[in-house]
Amino acid sequence: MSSDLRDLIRNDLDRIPLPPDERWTMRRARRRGFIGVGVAAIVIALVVAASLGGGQALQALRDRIESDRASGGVVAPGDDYVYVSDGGPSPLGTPTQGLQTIAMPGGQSVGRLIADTYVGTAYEGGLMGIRGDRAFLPVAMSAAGDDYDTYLQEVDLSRGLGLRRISLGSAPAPRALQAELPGTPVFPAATAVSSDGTSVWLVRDTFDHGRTTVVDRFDAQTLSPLAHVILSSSGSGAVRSRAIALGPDRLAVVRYHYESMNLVAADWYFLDAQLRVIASYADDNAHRLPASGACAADVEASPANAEWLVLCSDPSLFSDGALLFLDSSSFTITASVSLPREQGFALGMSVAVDNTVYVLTGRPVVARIDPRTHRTIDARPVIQARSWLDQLIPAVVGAKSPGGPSAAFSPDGRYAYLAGPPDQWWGSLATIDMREAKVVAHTSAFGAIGAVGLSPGGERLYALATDRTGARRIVLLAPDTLRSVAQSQPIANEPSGIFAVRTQTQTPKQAAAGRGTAGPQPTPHRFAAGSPGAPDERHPGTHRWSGG
Amino acid sequence: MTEPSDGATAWEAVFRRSYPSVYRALVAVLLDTELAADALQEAFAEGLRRPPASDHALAGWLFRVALRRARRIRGFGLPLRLDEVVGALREPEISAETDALLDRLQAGELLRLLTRRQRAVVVAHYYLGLTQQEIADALGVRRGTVGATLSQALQHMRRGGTHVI
Repeated sequence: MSSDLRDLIRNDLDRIPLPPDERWTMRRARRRGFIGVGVAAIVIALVVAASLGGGQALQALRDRIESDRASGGVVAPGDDYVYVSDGGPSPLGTPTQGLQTIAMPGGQSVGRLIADTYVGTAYEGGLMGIRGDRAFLPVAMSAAGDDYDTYLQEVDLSRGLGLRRISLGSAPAPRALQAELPGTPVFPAATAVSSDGTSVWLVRDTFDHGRTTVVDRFDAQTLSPLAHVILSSSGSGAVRSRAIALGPDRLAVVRYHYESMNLVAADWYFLDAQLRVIASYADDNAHRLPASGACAADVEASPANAEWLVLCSDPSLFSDGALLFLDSSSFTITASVSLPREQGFALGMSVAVDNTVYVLTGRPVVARIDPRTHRTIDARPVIQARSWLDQLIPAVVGAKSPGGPSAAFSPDGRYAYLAGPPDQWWGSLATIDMREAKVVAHTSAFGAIGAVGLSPGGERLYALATDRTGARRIVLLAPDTLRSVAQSQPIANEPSGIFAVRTQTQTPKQAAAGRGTAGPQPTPHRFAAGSPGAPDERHPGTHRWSGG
Repeated sequence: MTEPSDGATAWEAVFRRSYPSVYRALVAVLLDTELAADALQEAFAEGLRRPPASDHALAGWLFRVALRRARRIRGFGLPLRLDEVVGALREPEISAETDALLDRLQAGELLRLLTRRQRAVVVAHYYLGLTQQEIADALGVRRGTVGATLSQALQHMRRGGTHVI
């Protein structure tokens, strides 16, 4: 292919006519003159704008001081557990990845579950669908030879407790998949929990390059298997899958196709309670969702109709993105609102209290979409401050991958919190008012920000910060002013992402004593701080699943 | 590179040898014949002031300098950051003349599928014959980025083009 392309390009480009010889080295007056006039005009415009903007800047400064006085940077430091994923996808035989619990605002690490617990990476994003207070983590423990014992580890996020560990049997390390997609864990799986907490879905990528995806649904209480299906595909490259819970009994399975470590397409399957395929957008680009299926896993329910909102955006901006409206029963596309690629990559979306859907793009632009009419209301560039100059030249913010861990949205949909490296003009952390399309606060005081997470009510913002010495901490911030309220001690094992934030419902001491355990759960245990996860024999409630 | 006494003449001579290939490469990347000519002329002027250290990889040097000049021309000569912002905003327009030229080329259809960076990498690699490291140096990016960009560009061309490549 390469030689054909080389020949094609060489032959074709050699046919491009050249300018006359005398023009090769002769300076052309027209362009220079144009530039000179252009520069002069812009300098004049800048001087005028700066003069006009000066007064507004003073006004903005006064407003800011007033605003700061009003808010005072005060945020009530509630007791939260911040779960961070640390380590990395393990080298074979040496489990290193873990889930660490940081109790805030005290800032101590109160537990860590290790054993190749795979909770996502910056490369692939978070693969767990966390709703409610229960999470199920795929865990692998080295067994004999090249095999691994695999489990699902149930975690009570509100109490910082590891609960049952459910054996899924042993499986060989996915060598071909790991070779195709370096960083793939030895147990390439993902889970999702239904909105009502009654079902758990598990998707596993198996066999040749992960091209066979095994999907299971389990009863969350009894852990008995309820349904089972296999999705497979042919072709080249590797496949990684994730599950997205849609309400109490519907599931979306997304199968991401990678070639040469590049995401090239994604197949979407929508399944019913029995895991029968209701609708699929797969196999080729003619049948895939827009942008080759590159749609964010942060699927939202429409506030206006019985529809799901799916945000699609091509990372390379080869094609336009779209906000899709899918019928909640048939999962057919009822409407599609185009997001022109000129607006940049779609960073994420939120639903405001007035039912408007905000889409934030990397240009940056905030597009407002009415979910009732399926029409764009407007698309406005995000500005940083209030000066007139800012409106002339929109500021630029850094981009992120779709639905990744570096952005969070307030529960009311009004604000977006963007994280990034410290060399962005807006600092490493910014709060964007989606309604006003304005950066209301930004800072680089905490170094690089790897991830952000909000407390369940949105009152407290947590950022995973790396300072110049490389020390990583959880910083508690006031979401509106980005003022620091508290920060943790340096966290060991190089945490890379915020997995979840939950309000504590039990003190670590109570939790350790096992008091107040609700429901028919087996005896809970604290994560062992800095030690390997215990074998399943320690958990009387351990079940061996036969599903899959 | 050359003796001071005949430096300008010698520089013009080597510049003219590289001109056809670099000019065509710039047209393919910038999709603007006028801009390509102006940018390359400014690279010539830059070479007169500060000649490259050697004739080795001269095409790569001209390509790099001309691309920077093109960005500055597009950005009205504003400082670097504003250059990028304004240049990016003015990116999509393709002149009718260049459009007609690309229509006559089989590769034109493919190149129009790509972003400017992707075009720059593809053309530098397949037309100018630069290595990935030389392209990385020319574009001021890491070598891995060049490889990834090249891979993405090929994907796009494979998916979007009607030609078998």
